[in-house]
Amino acid sequence: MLARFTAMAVLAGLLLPGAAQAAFPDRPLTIIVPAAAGGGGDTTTRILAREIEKTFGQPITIVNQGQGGGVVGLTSIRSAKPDGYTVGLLFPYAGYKAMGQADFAATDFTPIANFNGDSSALLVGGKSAFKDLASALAALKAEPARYRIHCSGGCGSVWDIPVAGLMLDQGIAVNRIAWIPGQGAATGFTELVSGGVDFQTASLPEAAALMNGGRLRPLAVLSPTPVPGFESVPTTAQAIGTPVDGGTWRAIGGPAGMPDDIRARWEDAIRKAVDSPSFRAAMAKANFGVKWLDSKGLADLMSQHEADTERVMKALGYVK
Amino acid sequence: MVILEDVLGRLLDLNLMLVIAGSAVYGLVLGAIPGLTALMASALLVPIIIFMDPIPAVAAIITASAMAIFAGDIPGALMRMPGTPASAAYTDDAYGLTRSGHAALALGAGLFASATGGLASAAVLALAAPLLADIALSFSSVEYFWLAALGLSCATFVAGPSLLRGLASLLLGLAFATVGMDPVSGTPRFTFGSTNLLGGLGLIPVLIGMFAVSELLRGALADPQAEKAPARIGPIVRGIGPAMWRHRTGLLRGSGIGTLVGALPGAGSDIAAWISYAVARRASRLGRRDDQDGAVERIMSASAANNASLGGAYIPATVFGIPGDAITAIVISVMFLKGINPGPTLFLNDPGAIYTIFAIFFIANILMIPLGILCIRAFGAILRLPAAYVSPMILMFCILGAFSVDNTLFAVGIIGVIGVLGYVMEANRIPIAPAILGLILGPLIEQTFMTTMLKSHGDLMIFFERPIGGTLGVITILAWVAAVALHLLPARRPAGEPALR
Amino acid sequence: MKVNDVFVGLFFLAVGVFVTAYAWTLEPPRHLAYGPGFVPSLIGIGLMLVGGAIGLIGLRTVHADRLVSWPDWSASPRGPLRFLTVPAAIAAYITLVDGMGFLLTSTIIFVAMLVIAGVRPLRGLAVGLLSSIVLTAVFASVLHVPLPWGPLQSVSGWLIW
Repeated sequence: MLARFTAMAVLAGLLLPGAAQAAFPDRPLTIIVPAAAGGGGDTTTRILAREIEKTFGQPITIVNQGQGGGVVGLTSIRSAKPDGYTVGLLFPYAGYKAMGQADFAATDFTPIANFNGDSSALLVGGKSAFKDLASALAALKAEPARYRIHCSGGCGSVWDIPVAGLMLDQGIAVNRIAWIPGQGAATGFTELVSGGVDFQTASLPEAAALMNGGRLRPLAVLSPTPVPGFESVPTTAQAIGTPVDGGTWRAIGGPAGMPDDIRARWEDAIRKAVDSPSFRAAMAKANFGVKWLDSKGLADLMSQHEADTERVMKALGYVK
Repeated sequence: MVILEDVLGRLLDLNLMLVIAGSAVYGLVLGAIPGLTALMASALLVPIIIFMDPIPAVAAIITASAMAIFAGDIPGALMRMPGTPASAAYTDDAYGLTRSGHAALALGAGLFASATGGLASAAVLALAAPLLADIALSFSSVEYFWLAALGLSCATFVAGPSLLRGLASLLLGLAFATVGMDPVSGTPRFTFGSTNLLGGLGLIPVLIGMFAVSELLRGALADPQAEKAPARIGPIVRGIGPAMWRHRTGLLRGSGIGTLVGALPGAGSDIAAWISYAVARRASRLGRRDDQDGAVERIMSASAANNASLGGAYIPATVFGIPGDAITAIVISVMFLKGINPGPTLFLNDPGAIYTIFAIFFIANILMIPLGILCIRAFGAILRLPAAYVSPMILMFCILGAFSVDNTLFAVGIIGVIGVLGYVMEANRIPIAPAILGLILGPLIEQTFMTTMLKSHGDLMIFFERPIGGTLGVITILAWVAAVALHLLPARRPAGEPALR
Repeated sequence: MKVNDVFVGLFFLAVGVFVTAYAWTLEPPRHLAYGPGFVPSLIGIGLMLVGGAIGLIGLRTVHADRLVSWPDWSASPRGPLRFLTVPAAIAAYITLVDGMGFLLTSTIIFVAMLVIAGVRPLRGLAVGLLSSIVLTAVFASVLHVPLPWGPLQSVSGWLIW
């Protein structure tokens, strides 16, 4: 019976491609993740996709394309057919332009919704002399060339840009500091603990295990409010009286030119997912912050992100 | 004792046993297919285990990755197509044994050494994880640079009969490794405006091309109907006991090197296998020999090392939440997802969970022996089919393997181009193993060198200022000087060392 | 295909020249003591030296050896054809798979390779179709590798487990 049904459906699908346009989505969807399997971008997207599948009633395939630090995956999203069946994970992308790797802009994508955000923090090793943000900033201001700051990932990226922006506002010559790139937060933590670098920019959840062991110390987190689970870590407002909001964000977006009704369907599905207790529980367990922004809010975030990145990259001397 | 009861209680669970058995078979099959790696086997498990309880979820990854690393030896020994990059170091040795009719010895050595290495690293993990994690955390980019440079000296051992040709191959591999974004500034190199090249050529596609596709091309020139099927693989278990005793130092050395290298974040099972191979070749009397015994010694050392490194990688992962390799990066995210937060406190708060995870290592590595033998037998049976049927299947696996790494057709093109190149290289007596070595170590060596220079503002003395780093540096330089000196003094060259030309 | 060592040396020499020349065009960003071209230029110089040495040593044999010797095509009458099948199959896969879907492309490649290797066409078709169905089931349905479905796109929801 099932076989016959399937056979008929195959025939129908082959002969009547137009008849299938009735309701979106009527076939499996794809979310391109410009990161390797197992990382933060991959994990959060899989948690989200599990909820969206329930709403759409269709399986979602996650396609990991982590090569080139995400450039390959983002390019795939940009050049996908804007029919709503292929969308992708967007994250801070403006750094690629300054480095001459790619020229992504907000106009390349259809922003749908933001679902995750984690704040950047400035960390030192457990043996470091710096106990608070103010003294560290004063030292960096006095002798910028003496210090090395690990960016966790590539420099000019999600974690270091907001921190460099904060330092810039404090009048620190950020272009004289040695910013050390790495292959992820973990590579930086070993450098920080072994004394290879003096500071590191990373998210708090990633550093949690080493913080518990007293091997790492957070000086401040770039969040307007204390981060849940890390209430003892001072925000920049508490540390030096300047509120800063900086870090990564993860959003779903499609290629430019997606039809408005289909974009709205996705936005609704993501809103439903983000509001669901099971999504919130999974994100909390995996130590990821939930940050909801609708399509409009995401578009604003993206243009703000591009402007911020350009300002800091210029000051750092990456952009000529 | 309370912990022991707790652990036993958690282990005696039918569901857990089924998960372990299922992921064991899954890992063996994936690892035995050229191009599908232990990492991929683990990554593909994530969407499934996300619905499981914490312990079975982690058990699935541990079992599948251990099995996959071993299973990579099977196609390596029987067809000269390493199933995973971790088997590439000793593929030629194992294939050589197979061709002289000793397939059972090559595979038995690989299987039992894998299990030994895995068990040894599990023991270290259970006894000394916090202590070793401290050592791993004292490594900065200087130490990693020297480690990678030491690894590169392996090239002189896998160079084949001519050192010059081996170096040419190594340099070609290093050149391939520079394609894509530079690891420090992110500047695109050799990309010619192609987005796909921005991500580099990719280790897996190049490995598939160099070993598997080039082997298919060579095989195509022989008559498929007349092609002699490989002889039956003889008894695997018989005689393995005395062999293991004879090579006990190699086994132990490999297990030790593997556990340590695995514990270092950023160096995984493939690098562990190469380093152990080089040490066996250089520093042991048995491993230097060019006969059957020498090959077995090298296979056992390297094969023990790549499985031991899997356990080693869990040392920093469980103690500090720092992944020792890409597989443990996945494990850590799964552990977080399941509420077992890795870190020093895990050993205090939930010792039952952590020691159950360690116990699963023991189970997986013991289970490897019977299942591994079954897998070897099944694979041997497939190979007795006529080549006309086997070749298209292998080619399709190569294509699928290359595609599933990053889901691009570009990688499929790479295996074709590199396959032809590998064929031409071999036909002209340019060995391919050094090129793979260069491709594996190239990114690590460049990235650590450049990062160190950034930190010191260009002062080269930094490479000798730290105690561990300086010591490693001196060892590395001596190893290179010794290697070159031995080539220049042909009279004193031990049998089996490659000559300069 | 085996060529005289002079050509082997020249090949590596040429690759070395190219790598070095390209590396010199890479400007170090202002904050780096050693730029992105540093390591590639070392590799390039190494390739030039090694290639040059291989070529020079090869000069000694240039009169004794043939410059180019082709593989023994005559060992098997269909050898050259089967040799070309491998790259051709890869090229065909890349060209066809997005439009025709994996199942169909894989079947075509299987049948072509089997028939060229001397298997009877009908038998080849059966083996090829069966193998392709198994591969689709394993990779696309179970492992969720995003293989193109081609004409089956609209019903692929039922085929992904």
